[in-house]
This record gives sequence, structure tokens and C-alpha cells, in this order.
Amino acid sequence: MNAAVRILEQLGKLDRRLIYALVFLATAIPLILNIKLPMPVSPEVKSAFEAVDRLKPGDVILISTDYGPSSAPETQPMLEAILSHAFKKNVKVLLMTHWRFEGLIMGIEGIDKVAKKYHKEYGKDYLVLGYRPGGTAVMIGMAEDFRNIFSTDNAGKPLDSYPIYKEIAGDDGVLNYKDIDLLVGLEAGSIGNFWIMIVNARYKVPMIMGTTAVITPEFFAFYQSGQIEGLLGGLKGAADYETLLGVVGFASKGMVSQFSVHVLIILLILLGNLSDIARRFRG
Amino acid sequence: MILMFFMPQFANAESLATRWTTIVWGFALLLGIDSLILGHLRKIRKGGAQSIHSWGLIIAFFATLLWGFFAWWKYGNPFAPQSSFLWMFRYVYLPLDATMFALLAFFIASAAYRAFRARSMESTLLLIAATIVMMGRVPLGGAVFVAFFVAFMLMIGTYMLYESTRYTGFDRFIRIIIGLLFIGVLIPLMNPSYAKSFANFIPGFADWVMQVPNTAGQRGIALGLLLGGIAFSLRVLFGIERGYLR
Repeated sequence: MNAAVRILEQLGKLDRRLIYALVFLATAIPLILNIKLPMPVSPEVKSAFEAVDRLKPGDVILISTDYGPSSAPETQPMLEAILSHAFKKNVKVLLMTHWRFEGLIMGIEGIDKVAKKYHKEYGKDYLVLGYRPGGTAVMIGMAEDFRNIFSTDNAGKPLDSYPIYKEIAGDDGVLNYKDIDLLVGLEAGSIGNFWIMIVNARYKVPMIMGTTAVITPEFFAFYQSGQIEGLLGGLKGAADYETLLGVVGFASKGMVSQFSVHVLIILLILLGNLSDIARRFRG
Repeated sequence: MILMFFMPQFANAESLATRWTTIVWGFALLLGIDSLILGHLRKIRKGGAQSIHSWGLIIAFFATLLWGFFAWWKYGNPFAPQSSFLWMFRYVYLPLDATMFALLAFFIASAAYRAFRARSMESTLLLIAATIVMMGRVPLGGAVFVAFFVAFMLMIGTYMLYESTRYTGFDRFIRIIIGLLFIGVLIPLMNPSYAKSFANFIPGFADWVMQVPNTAGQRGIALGLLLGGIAFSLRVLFGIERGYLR
């Protein structure tokens, strides 16, 4: 018994470099082997999928990419999956960001990639509004007319010079929240709260959200209250959306890495606790 | 602002107030930059081994600033598609940002191994909830959770039975009962169909943990924070709270 206790005690003193190597291998091997494992879809992701699926050809979604490269592994697959779904249904897409230029670059990379796949044309099927600082001020300004905030698109051309603008704005020539059928907030920070509190609560724009796993817990309250119609939480949310869409994207493959790292972390915690018990056992 | 939320006729006043907020943010950013630069200049003046980091910050800050102005002058917009500043942003800043965040995975694993100890009822509950959510939200997580559960129950049961040998009388009896209970719970899991049902139950249970106890807690925290924020703002406005002046 004493030998077993001593071994357990020693297992609590693993070198941190060994742990780093194990985490690296647990992440990399499943990605290299390109494995996909089945997984039940969460109800909140199903609701988000249905909200996009209900849109008709010609309807408009406004996507806000409020994240940077640090959270892109979780949120970029969400963007690509939602865009694929929207373009498949011939829904018009407007893209903007509140997140400095990181959000803009991530958004442009995502929309260009998916638009190319579905042969969608810039200015006719989608438009990149760009980035404006100001958070809530931007949201309130857009309520009257998007041109109050985005007089030009990201390329510097007037918004109303594009066919998509004329089609969406209609006869009155004004584009505002009344023309938006679904708002998609892809969030890594606090901007999502303001989209809900200002744009959804006041202007009644239907919303779905995709958030990093770290901030997902705080958005379940908005999902339960019906303020957001669906929620994609972390890589799992993106993988669930891909499953519903019938594609195997980065998120579905990444879930296997997440599985192996989660198992490793729990094993390490158990090991640490066993070692602690053994140490106390020996007094 | 609260009144304006319910009275759309005051939308213009709200728009004006939010514009003021944006201007204040701009000046706050200038103050922040001023504080950052002065702080690091002070460290450089003091010298020492750590001052190399301050040099790095100052050089990177001004190089980025000048590069941004140059690209603005040359391309009309630092983030124009052909801008060299955009190239720097895309191929230097973005990978650095992603790398910084990716390192967290390694530190979290190491920190959890060293520090996450089930020494109290609260930390044990946290450990169990974390295990359920972590396993419930990954493929095959339910099956692995069952394996962890069996190992955990066996471990505690065996430990309690071993502990009983060090006691006598009622203390010994109670430890034997607890040990047998922990091991006895595993008997139904020897039936594969029960074990499979248990594994299938975990993802749904993880969703329940996220949607019910987690949401209840989050809602309470959010309400508390907002009410606290309003109360604190009123204290500042009425001059009761003056800590920021010191």
C-alpha cells in the first residue's frame, strides 16, 4: 500500500513541460488524423438554425463579427456555416463589426471565402459595411438610417450606389433596422449585450448569437427569455450548426481535439487530487 | 437614458448623449496612451533588466503609429486592401494575438493539474459540474464520463473501506457502509444497457446544467451588477462617492 501511495504522490509532481507536450499532442493528433465523431445537437443551436432556415430568398441578415483572431477558431466556423446557409437560401447579407479592424478582417476573410463557393457577387448579394467605433452610438445611429453611420462601404463607395442597397432599402431609399429580417451577433466580448439591449429590445429585430465558450453562459438568460432566438456556444455550437447543415467543417473536426483535451484535463485534475489525497494520507 | 428608452420622442437627445460618450471615449483613449507611454518611459529611466520590455513597447508603439500614418498618406486609408499596414496587421498582429490566446490552453491544463483540488464541498461540486459540462459537450463525452464515474466511485469506495480499518465501533461501521454504498452504486452499470442509457443522459444533463442552474446564477449576477452600477453611478453624480478624486 505504501508503494502505491508513494507512486501516487510522485504522479502529482509531473513536469509542466510534459503537460504542455501532452496538450499539444491531444490537440494536434485528432486534427492531423481528420476524425469526425457523431454528437447530439443542442436545442439552442437547433433554434438558431431554424431562425436562418425560416428566411425566404431576398430576405436580409445583418452579421456583426465582433471578435478577433484569438477567438476565431470558435467563431469563424460559425460565420462560415451561417453564411453558407444564408447564401444557399439566396438571402442577402450585410456584414459589419464593432471590434476594431480585427473583426473586419475576420469577417471579410469569411464572407469572401463562402461567397466565392456559392458564386455570390459583391454589391449584389452581399455588402461589407465595415467598422465604426462607438458601440451603442453606432447601433442607435443605424436605427434611423444606416448611411448616418456607414456613408460608404468598406471599399469607400457610397452605400446607395450598390444594387443590393436599392433592393433592400426599397421605395423610401432608407436602409434601417426595419429592413433587417435577422441580426446575427458573433461575439467574443460585451457588444452582444448591447445588440440585445438596444437593437432587439427597442427595434424588435429578431436575433441569434454565436459566442465564444467563455461568454456563452451569460447569454443563456437571453435565450430563455426569448430575446434571442438561438445561441451557438463555442466550438460545439459551430459544430452543431455544421451537423444541421450537413457539412463537415473545421468545427466538427475540432470537436475531436476538444474531446481529447477535455479528457486529458480531467485526467490531470484527477491525478492531482489523487496525489493530494496520497500526500495527506502519509501525513 | 433610461427614460429615453421608453420615450422614443427623446431619441435625438439620446443620439446626442451617445455622441458625447464617443467623444469622451476618444479622450479617455488619449489619456490611456499618455499614461502607458509615461509609465514605460519612467521604467526605462530607472533601467534594469526589465527595461528591455519597456523599450520593446515604446518602439513597437511608435513604429506602428508612424507606419499607420504613412499608409494613411500613401493609400488614403491604413486598411486599404493594398496597404502595407494591413499586411503588417494581418501577418504580424493577428498571428501574435491568436498565439497569445492559444497559450492559455497549455496554462489552463497545467494550472488545473496543480491547483484544482476537491478539498471542500464547494470545490467538489465545482469539479463535478465542470466534469459533466466538459464531457457533456464533446463527442463520446457521455461514454467517457461513465468511465470516469466508475473510477471515481471505486476510488472513493475503496478508500473508505481502507479507512475503516483504522477505526473501531460505530466509526468503522459508518465508513464500511459508505464505502459499500459507493461501490454498490456501480452494480446497475454492469448491465450494458443501463451504462449506455447513463452515457446518453450526460449530454442532456450538461445542457440542463447550462440552461437552469447556470442561467439562474448568471441572471442573478447580471441583475446585481446592473443595480450596483446604477447605485454607484448615482453616488458619483450626487457627490457621495469621491474616491476617484483622490
